[in-house]
Amino acid sequence: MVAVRQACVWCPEWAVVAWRALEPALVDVPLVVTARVGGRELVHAASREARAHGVALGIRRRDAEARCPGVVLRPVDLAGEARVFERVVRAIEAFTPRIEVHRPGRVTFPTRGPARYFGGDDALTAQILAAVEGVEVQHVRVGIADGMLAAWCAARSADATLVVAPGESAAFLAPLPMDVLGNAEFADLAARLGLRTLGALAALPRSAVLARFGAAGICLHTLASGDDDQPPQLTTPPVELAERHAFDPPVERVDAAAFAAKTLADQMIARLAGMGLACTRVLVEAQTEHGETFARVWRHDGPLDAQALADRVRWQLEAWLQPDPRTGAVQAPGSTVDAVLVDADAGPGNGLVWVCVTPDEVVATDGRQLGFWGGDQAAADRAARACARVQALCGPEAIGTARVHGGRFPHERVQWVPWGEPVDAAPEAPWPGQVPGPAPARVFDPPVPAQFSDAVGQAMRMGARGAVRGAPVELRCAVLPDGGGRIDGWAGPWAHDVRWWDSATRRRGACWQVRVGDAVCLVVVRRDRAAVAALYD
Amino acid sequence: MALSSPSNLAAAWRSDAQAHARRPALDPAARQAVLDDLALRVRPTTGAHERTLPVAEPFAAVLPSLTRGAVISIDGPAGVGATSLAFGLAAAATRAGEWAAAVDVDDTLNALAAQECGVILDRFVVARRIPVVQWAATVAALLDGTTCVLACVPPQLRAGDARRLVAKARERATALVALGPWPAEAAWRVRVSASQWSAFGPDAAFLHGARTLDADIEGRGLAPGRRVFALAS
Repeated sequence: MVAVRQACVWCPEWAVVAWRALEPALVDVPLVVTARVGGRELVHAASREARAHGVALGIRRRDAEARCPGVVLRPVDLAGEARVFERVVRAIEAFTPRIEVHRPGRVTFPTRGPARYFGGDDALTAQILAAVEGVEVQHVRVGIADGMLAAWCAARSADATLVVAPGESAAFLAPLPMDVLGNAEFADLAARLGLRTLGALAALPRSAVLARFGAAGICLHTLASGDDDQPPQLTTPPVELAERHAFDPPVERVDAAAFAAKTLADQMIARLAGMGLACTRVLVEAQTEHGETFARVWRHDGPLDAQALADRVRWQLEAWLQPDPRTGAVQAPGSTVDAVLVDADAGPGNGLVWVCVTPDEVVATDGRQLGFWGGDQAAADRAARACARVQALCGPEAIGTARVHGGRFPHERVQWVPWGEPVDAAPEAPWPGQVPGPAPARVFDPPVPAQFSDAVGQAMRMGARGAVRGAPVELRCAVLPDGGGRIDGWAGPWAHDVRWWDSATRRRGACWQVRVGDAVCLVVVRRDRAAVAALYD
Repeated sequence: MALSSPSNLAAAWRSDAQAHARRPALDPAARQAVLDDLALRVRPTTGAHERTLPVAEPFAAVLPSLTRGAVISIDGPAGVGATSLAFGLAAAATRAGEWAAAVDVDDTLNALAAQECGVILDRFVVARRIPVVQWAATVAALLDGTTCVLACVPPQLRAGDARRLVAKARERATALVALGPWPAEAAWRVRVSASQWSAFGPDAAFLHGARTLDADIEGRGLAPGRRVFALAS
């Protein structure tokens, strides 16, 4: 199979560029865009000024602020990015209509036609660079190669432009690391098998890769060899797959359009799912009151789900309804008709009459196979829904799972992880100084104050040298049945001296296991204050 | 050996066919036995035993199985083992691959003890710091999504709320283990009154060994009365 020759236009750190286009005050200021990943705020993109101070992608927000004082932080705003990116897409649209937007900041298109028209790949890249810089976007990179992956890698490794000669894609990809395939799990496994570059993977016989890694492995092998993983789609999907929504009266407001986007996406995904299909490339079309038609293609790595599809449709409609301020040719909603100048480079400029979403490329979905009797996955989904409901009722911290790890005292040994956040496995390691015996079923954090005294009524205490004298005789505490009383048995004491190197957080004390009547509890004495820390219920 | 030639094969087949033709009719008793055997083989695959989950060993002495849709009330003074028993019942659900949940009122449940009682923590969610006014709604939401809910009962629970939860548990086929005084009906009521540790006293260096529980248990299929249960540690 011959890979289609593709060009990839990539704007590095698009999140930063978009924020600066939306807020001109941010130009030349160290700027960091952060994204929330599993409860932690990590750096998603950083400006050149921030990078000069040592800010790297993927570090925590706190670290970025420490490395670059005075840095300006902004959250990820994908809708805003898409809106600003629209002008780049329009600039490239002058060369070819077959543009696919992967995400804001990255587009690809096949180059056979435009390259022939403009006189070769090098001439085409120069034209594209000039056009994109004409809309005041700097530092754009263009890569041209056979196949989508090679074009993307060429754009990433280019200074400004990089053209890989026809037929050279496999050689170009060979020295690249396995990470560029975008499959971290496979990259990890392959590194342990000694396959560190795409060339090493491509050199393996296909049958051996199929036997070891299955269909997914064959797909990665194809990509590593410089081919496209899917043959070019030659048939048009049937028309009835398109979802169309007419607005009456025409909408000019973004929120109304977003509502329609959600409905369209849900309907389309449901209909495709009914046919056993999933969609990887979608065409969004809209028409305005004045008869102008706008169309844009979005591509996604892997099948789109309803949420991802709705996001893309919403971004596109927002980009058309309120283009970024620099484009300027759009007028306020509701303006009079005679003020409308139909400008192909500007947004629609007036209300949308209809929106149509067409699945441009569909693949058979393998779907999700439930267990024969419902199975684990169904039970986990049910539980997840119940937990989400509790979080909606009582807050995100209200429900979670427990993670057991090392610790000296019972309350230190359990960490509560809110539902939905990743639980990393705790390392197994011995922990000297623990109180032996079974784990108490009830733990009081903070401990409940108690009276713990010896035979002559003196409170049990720990001496300056860590020694404890005498035997306990009486324990009184609110959590014990009947408020406590005479001690029927005890074990201990286990002395501890925690963080003795730091006077501010140092804790010295001793623990006893004490039985009062039928109840056994864990008593902690610090200086001359006693407290019940746990109950063996 | 005898069937090796074609003519012998044909003869054997013929004699077999004649035997079938001459088989006498079954008498009614034998026919009934055959039909009973057949009914046993084609019976519906959902039996009554599928509505219960077996409770693992130490706690099986108290209650051998956890019934879906039933309410089990466990009560007793602090420190005599009611919480451990409730963990043991919740463990029956997680051990069967299902999910269990707990609703903590005073944030004292210890997940490590639950793990020692057999609960698999990957499938055990705990709701903590629940406002009292949201307690019933939280338990109802968890009854919707899990197989066993261990709920610490707040002291001011109204009987009407409790009755609604009983109905919800029955409707969703989820076991509800109520820890504390339960103001509505329950399929089983366990009241733990005393417990002893076999190795704790002047001769033991620390708490260990087997534990015995004294408990009154009443409910379906049980004669009322005090029982003493030995729990291996």
